[in-house]
Amino acid sequence: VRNRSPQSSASAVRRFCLWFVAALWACPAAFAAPTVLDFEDLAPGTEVTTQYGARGVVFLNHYLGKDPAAHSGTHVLRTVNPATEIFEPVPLAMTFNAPQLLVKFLAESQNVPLNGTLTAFDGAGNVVAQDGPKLVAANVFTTPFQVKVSGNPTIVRAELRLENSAYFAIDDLTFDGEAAPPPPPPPTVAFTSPPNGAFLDTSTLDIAGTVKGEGLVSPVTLTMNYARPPESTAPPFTSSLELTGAGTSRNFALPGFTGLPMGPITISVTASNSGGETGSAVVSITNMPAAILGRFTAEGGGATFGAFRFGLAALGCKMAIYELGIISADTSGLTRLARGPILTRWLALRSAFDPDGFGCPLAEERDGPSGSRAQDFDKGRIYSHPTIGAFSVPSVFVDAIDKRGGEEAMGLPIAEPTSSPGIMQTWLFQRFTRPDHPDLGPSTLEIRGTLPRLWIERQPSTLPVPTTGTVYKDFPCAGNLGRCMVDEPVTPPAIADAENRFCHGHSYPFPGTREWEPILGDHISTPIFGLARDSHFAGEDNILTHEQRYDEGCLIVDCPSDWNVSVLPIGLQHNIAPETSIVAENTYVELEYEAYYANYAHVFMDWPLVGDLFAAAGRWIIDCGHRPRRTELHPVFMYSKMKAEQFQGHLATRADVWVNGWWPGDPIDFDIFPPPRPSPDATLVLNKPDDADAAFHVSLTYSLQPENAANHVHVQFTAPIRLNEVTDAGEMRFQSGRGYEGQWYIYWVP
Amino acid sequence: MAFLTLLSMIALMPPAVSQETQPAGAARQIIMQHQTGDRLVSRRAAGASHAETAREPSASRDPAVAGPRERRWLLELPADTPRTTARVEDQEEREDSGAYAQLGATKFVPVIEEELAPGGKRDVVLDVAASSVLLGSVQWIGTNDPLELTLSLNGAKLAAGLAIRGSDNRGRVTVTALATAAGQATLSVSNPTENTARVQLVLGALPQ
Repeated sequence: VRNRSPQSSASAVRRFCLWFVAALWACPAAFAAPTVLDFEDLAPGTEVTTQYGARGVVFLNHYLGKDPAAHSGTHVLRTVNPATEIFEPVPLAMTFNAPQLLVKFLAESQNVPLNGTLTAFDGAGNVVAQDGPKLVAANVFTTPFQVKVSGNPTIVRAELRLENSAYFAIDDLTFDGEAAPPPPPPPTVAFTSPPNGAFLDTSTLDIAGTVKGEGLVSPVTLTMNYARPPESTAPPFTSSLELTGAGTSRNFALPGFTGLPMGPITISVTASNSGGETGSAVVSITNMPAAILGRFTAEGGGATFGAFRFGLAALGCKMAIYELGIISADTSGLTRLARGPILTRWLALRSAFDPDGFGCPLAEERDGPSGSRAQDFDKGRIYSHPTIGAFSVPSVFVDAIDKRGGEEAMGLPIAEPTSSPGIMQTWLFQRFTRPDHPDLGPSTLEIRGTLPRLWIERQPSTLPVPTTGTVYKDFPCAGNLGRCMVDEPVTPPAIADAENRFCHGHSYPFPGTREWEPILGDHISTPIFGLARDSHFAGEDNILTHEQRYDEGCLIVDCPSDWNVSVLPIGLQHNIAPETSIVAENTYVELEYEAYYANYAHVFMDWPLVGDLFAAAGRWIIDCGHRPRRTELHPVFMYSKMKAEQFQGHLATRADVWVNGWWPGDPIDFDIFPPPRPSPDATLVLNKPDDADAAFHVSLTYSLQPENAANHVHVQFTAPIRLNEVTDAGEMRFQSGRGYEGQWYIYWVP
Repeated sequence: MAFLTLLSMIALMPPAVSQETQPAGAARQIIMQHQTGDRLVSRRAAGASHAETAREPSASRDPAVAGPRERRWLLELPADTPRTTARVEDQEEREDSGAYAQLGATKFVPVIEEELAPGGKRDVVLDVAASSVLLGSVQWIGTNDPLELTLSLNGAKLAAGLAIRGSDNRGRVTVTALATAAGQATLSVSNPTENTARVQLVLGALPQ
C-alpha cells in the first residue's frame, strides 16, 4: 500500500484551485453564514479529503483523530495519523470551494510547543494574509489562528505549518465568505486495462483508466480483492493513484504491478470530486498459470478439486490451493498434485510466519513402505498411512533415511518432529515405526548436542538375522537443523594378498606357517562391532593348537574346543590401520575362543546367541589353515554382547561384558548404547555392577557421552601388559589371573 | 570332578535372575546424567532400592579367572551347553574351524598322556612317507619351566621346540618339520625340571 502524504498532494490541490477560481469568475458571488466544522461528524481514523466538500472545503488527506483536549467534543483534525512515521514537515492544508474573507481555528502542537504560521493564498497562489509565527501550546487546543482579508473575499487556500513538524492538529475550523457552489455530479471512472473478464497468466499487470467529471480530486483509490490464505488478517490491497492530465478528463495508472496474486481478482478504482461525490469502476479477472489451469481441467476441474482457496508463489513454483487439492507448476511448467491426507498435513504446516509451509511438491505422490503413501516437498517428505496418520519428515532427516538404509529400514513417522533445546540439547527429534516388523520398537532420528550431530538409532531390520540390539550411527551437522554429512562411505577394499603377506605362501602346517598369523601383532587388541549371525560349539578342532577340548564322540586329535561366533561387521571398523578393512576373503568375522575358559561367563551371562550385537576385541588373525584366507579374532580377549530386555520397568540394553585371560592388556575401548531414545527430554540411566564383584585384576573407566547430551556409555579396560605365550603353531596360551564378568544395563527415563 | 562341582555351584546360583530377586548386598552403582547439565555425576545409591537388590557373583569364583584350572585336557561338555543352534551352514562358515583343512589327511600316533618325572624322557615314533610334514606337540601340567622337545627322522634331528616359559604351571611346545625321506619319525620329550609333569604327546604326519 502506498501512503499518500498530504505534502505530495499539494500540487494537485493547487491545480484544483486554479480550476475553481476560473469557475468563480463565471458565477455570481453568493454569501452565506460562517461555516464551523467541529469534526464530530466523522469517525475517528477517517482519512479526511472531500468529506466536507459540500460545505465548502477540501482537505489534503488529513486524519480525523480523537483527543480529550479537543476544544469542542472529542474529535480533532490532525495532519497525519500519530502512529505513522513521517520525517518531513507536513502542513495542514485546506482548499475552499468559494473565496473566503476569514479563516480561523484553534491549534495544538503534539508534545512540545512549536512556532506555527497560518498563511492564506488567493487563486493565483499569492499570499493574502498571515498569522504568526507564534508559539503553539502542546497537547491543548488553546492557540488561536486567524487570517482575514478586507474587501472582496480572496482566500481560496490556507495552510498551517509548525516548524519542522508533521504532528499537530486543529479544532473548530471556521470560515466565512462566499457560499460553496452546488457540488458537481459524481465522476465517471472507466478501466482501459485490464479488460473485464480477462484470463491471465502473469505476475505483472498494467492497471490504467480514466476519470471524467468536474472538480476531480487526485488521487483516486485502487482496491484489489482476491482469495487469501485463511491466516491472512491484512486488509485488501489499496493504493492511491495520482490523476494525470487536466480538466474534466484525467487518467490514472499503475503500470507494472508485480506480485499479481493467483485466482479470481477484483480491482476497483474510486474517484471523488470537490463536492465530495464519488464514482467508481470494477473489473474482474482471473490469473492462473496455464500449466495449472491445464492440469486442473485434465484432472476433472472443480468436481475434483473443489473451490479455489488461495494461491502461493513459493520459491521454485506456483501453487493453486483448492479445497481438495494442490496443483503446483514449477518454472519449467511441470505440474504436480497433492491431495488427501498429505494435503491436510501440508496445509497444517503453513502459518502466517511461514506461508509457504512445506514448500513446493518435488514429485507426485507415490507408494511408501508398509502400505503407506509418500510425497516429497521442498522442505521434506510427508508420509501417510491409514492407521498411523500423515506426518512430515524434514529434509535433513529425509536425507539420512535415503542415504542410510532407506525407508524400509527407518519406517514411518509416528508424529511430527519436535525439539527440546533444554538440558538434553535436542534440536530436532522424530520417531518412526515399522508396521511390517511389530517385534521391533520405534526408531529415532535426532540432532543433538554442541557441536550438533545427527543420530540414527534403530534396531536393524535389514540384516541377515533379527536383533533386539540397537545400532546408533552419528554424523556431524553444519547447524542445529542440518545439514548433516550422512553420505554412505565408500566400502574400503578388503585385505589383499593375505596368502603371501601373512601365510607366507603356504597353508598350516607347512613349516614356517602358523595356523593363525596375526595381522597387527599377537598382542594387539583389535576391536570389532557387528551382529552375531551364528553362534555354535565347534564341530572339530586341532589338538596341536587347542588346550582344553571336549569328548564329543570324536577322534582324540580332532575333538572340539572352541565356541565360535560369526559376526557380520556393522559400519566402519576402527583401530585396524594400516589395513582398511577388517575382512580379507570373507564376509563375516569369526570370533573363536576355547569354550572351557568361558564356561563361567556363559552360565552367568548366557551363551552368545544369534541376534546379539557384539562389541569385541581380540587377536586379529588370518586363518592360514584354510583357503580362501579369512580373518578371525582368535582368540577373543573381550566381548560385550548386547540385546534389549526389560529392566526395572524400562526397556534397556543389557550388555554382558566378558574380559578373559587371553588379553595381554592392550587397552580395549567400546560403547554400550541404550534402546532408541523415546522422547526429546529423555535422560540416560546406566546401571552397572560393582567393580569389586565384576573385575579381577583389570581396571576400567567409563563415561556417559557425549558429555553435554549423553546417549551412551563409553568403557575402557586397561591392565598391565602381559605378553601371553604364542606357540610355534600359532596358539595363544590362556593365562588366568585377570578377568571381568558383568552385566550392564542402560536405558532412558522419559 | 572339581570342575563339575564348581559348575553345579554356578548353576545353583544363576546370576541371570532378575534384579528384584537377587539378595541385597553390596551397593550397585547408579550413574545418571545430572539434571543440572553439569558434568555427569556418579552416585552410589545409599539405601536406594535398586542399590540393594542388585549384586553379581564375584568374577573371582571363576576358575578360569582365579584358578584352579583343570588338571586334564579332555573334558565333558557342561550339560547346559546349547548344542542345537540355528547355524547358517554356508560355505564360508563351514570352512571356519579351529581344525586346519588337512587335519583329516594327517596320520597321528595315538595321543599319549602320562606323568613324566623330573629328568624323565619319553619318545613316540611314527613311520612316515617321504615329503611329509611332521607335526609334534607336548603340553604339560605341573611346572612353568619348559620341557624339551625334539623331532628326529631316522635318528637325525630335524627340529627342536622353542623353549618358552609356561604360566599357571602349564605350557606347550610344538615343532614342525619337513621329512624329505621316508623313515621313522621320533618325537622326544624330556623333563629337565624338578617337578613331575603330566604330559600330552602328539605326533602326526601329513603327506605332501
